Amino acid sequence: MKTKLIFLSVMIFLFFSCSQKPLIIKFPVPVQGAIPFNKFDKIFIGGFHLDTPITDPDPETELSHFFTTDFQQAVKRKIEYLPLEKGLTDPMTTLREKLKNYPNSLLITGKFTIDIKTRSMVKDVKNKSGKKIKAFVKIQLWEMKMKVAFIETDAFNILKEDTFTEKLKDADPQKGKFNFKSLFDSITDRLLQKSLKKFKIQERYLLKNGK
Amino acid sequence: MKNLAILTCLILFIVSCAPHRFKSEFDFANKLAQQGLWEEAYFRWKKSLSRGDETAAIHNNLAIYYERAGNLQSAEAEYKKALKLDPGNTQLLSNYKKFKQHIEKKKNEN
Repeated sequence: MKTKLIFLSVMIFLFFSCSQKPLIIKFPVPVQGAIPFNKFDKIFIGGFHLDTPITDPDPETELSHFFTTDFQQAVKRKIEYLPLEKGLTDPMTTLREKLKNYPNSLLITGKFTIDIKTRSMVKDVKNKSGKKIKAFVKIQLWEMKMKVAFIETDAFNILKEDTFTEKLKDADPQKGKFNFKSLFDSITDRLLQKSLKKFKIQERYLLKNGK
Repeated sequence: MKNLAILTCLILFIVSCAPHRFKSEFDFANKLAQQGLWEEAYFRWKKSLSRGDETAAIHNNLAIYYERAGNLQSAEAEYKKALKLDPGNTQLLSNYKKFKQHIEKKKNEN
């Protein structure tokens, strides 16, 4: 009885260990809309339309700094600053004329907005002697929105357009620079990840004959 | 005597489960595809087809080849041929579903 049981267990074990697993194959497929940065002779950034109550740090300086350093490094192409007045909100015909001077180039432009709402709320704060007391304090809700467009200068064609939004609740009004930086870093990080994604992995079953 | 019979059975079972040489051109092509040698695999799947071995598996694998190469029209045609031959194959159905989702996503991105 004991021998039979052992024999049966071994057979079951062998059956499961020998049973064939499905052949799963993985392959990359290009992501539609990935920007071919290497196709262009020159890449420019400029003309971002700004709608923000913040002047320190200066959003325009921060934007051009991001694109000409971090973004440039990530896409491995030199990005130059192109002084344009209003970018996307510039009358399109004027912008088209201006871009004719830069053949086979890519312009990165867009719209950058910050909306700050201030309100008061009751919060636990420490008084001068270190004791916790309830007091009215001002807090802010920050909303940063960045619309980025990649425009082919020759055909004046928008290759890709993305909008990123980040919010910061209960922000301290005294820490404007910190609030700006934390939102700006999150948005630019998302933009980088999306712009650099070129392939997506697909998974399929390869079938065996008779299956 | 009884133990000897059990031992013989075991040996036979193990030998039948042991890795075997490729039974056909088709199995070899699958192995090539797994190793990333897609062009070589494609050639062999096509060869199997031209010999008259028309199976859902060959059409499915050819569909994957086309999908990988970005030739989505041919991929869809091959998936359809495969589904006609074996409509209840769960792995094939799963592949076709994923393929359709992939196409739909591409359309939305455009």
